[in-house]
Amino acid sequence: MIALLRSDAYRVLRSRWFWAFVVAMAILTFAPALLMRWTSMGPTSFDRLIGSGVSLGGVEILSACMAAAVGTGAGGFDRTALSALGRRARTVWYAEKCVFVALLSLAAVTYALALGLLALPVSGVPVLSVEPAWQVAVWLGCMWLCCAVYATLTMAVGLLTRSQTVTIGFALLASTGILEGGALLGIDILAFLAGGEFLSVSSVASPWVPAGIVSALASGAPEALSLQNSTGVAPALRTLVVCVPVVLATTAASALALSRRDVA
Amino acid sequence: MNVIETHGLTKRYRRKTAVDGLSMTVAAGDIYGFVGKNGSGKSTTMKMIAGLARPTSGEIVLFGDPEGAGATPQGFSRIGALIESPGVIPNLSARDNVVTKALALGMTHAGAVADDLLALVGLDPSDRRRVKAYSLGMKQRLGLALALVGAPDLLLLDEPFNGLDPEATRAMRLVLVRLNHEQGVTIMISSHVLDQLDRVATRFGVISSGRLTAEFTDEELHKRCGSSVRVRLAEPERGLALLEQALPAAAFRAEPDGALVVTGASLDEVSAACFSAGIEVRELVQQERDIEEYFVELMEAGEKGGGAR
Repeated sequence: MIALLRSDAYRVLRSRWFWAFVVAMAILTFAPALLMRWTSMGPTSFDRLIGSGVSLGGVEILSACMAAAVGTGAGGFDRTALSALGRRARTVWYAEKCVFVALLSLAAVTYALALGLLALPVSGVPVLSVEPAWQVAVWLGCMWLCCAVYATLTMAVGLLTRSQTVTIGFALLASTGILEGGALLGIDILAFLAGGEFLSVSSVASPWVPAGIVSALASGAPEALSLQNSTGVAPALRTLVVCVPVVLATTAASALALSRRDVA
Repeated sequence: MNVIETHGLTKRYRRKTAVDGLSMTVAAGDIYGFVGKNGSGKSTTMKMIAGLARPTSGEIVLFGDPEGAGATPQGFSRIGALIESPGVIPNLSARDNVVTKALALGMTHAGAVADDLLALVGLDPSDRRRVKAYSLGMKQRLGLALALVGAPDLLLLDEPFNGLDPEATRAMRLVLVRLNHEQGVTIMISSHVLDQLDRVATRFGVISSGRLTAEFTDEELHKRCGSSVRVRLAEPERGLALLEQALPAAAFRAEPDGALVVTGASLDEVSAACFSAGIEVRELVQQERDIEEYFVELMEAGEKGGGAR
């Protein structure tokens, strides 16, 4: 597993798309900060750090897109690598792909936070209140788990379909919440046709799907731990209950199902 | 020891049977030429041996391991494969491709391994161009370098001479022979370039419609395709009887135009026999059988269900 992770890390670090993402993230973070500094646009102060001064909005989309690039950018190399692996090692290989994109998501989330923190002094806008470090860490961990859900699902789709178009399409639709929203709407319509109340399902389920959790986490670090919401369950706990099983199940399913399939 | 043994190997894709009960053996140290028409099941067989496709039925025994994995204790296969198009990462350089695979196999000096292998196949390790800019021949050479990562004991090469110019073809052939002679690597090659295959292969297998129709050594091949004497006599029937008497070790085949093809006797022997028996000779010529023609005959016989051997 470690050797495979090193190999994928090497491949990604040598890829131009990776550095394009790195530069794009830096530009997207520092450009608004510089605008705030040089113009009178933007707030005069941030009332707190997370959710106000620093926001990781869109990092889940970025994670899914990077997973799509990792999953479909290897061309026929997968065939070359898999032919050099024994039967058991092939199962590990598929699991490693999901683990790798989950770790890549962690790197993306951490990098985005670091950029956000660096951009604060650049913007020249003061932060009035800073949350404790442990709250920031919990919030960051939750953000990572949400990103990891989209990344591993995208990787599984990439390995399953081997289609760049389908995988990128899935990454965008899933990480923007369109897929989850559409699925919930479909269930709502079916429930309504079955005699139920329209939107009754989505009103209950939407806070529990990853997009709903990301939305709750976007409010800030204290809110991630707060019980004051429609579910009565802290978003951080919802993250653990939903995202961890999804990531583990996706990884296991990819490893077990795909390793039994013909590669070429 | 047999490096590859297949027993009743079958692969079906929905309604199409790509490989149909194929049983073959490749011994350690062989360079096995796998010959067949397009769509005869060569690539599918190689994919199954490489573990890239699962057989519908049948068994593959690799290195005497009936589990079919033939894996090292570290979980790595002892197989290097170049099947169909070279499996490369198009957006990386050749060196980065080889380093990526070497790292995946847990090699510590991946850079040095990459440099050595690229030099072996005639590619420049310092070439920073992305592989997608490479010609097919260069990709083939990179594919071979990738297949050689991890020093495999068995190489599966599907059409490795495709896209190579004559000089590169010769270089690739020499590399394969060197690997076989110096490192004892067993090699299974499928190729349409039969004259190249003939120069390297020590054993041949002919596949037709998913079935192995013939298996023989290069010596047997050359014996079968060896020189023969074509003789046209004024009295073919009487002449044949006299020649059979005079040359008991020779084999005779009648051609449609009435000529006799004699194998197992030289031109001088046939000429002397005819002269001694007082047979009038109208044509006497030595002829070589074309290897390509022989393979085509075998493949066509296989398609008709003949299974010539």
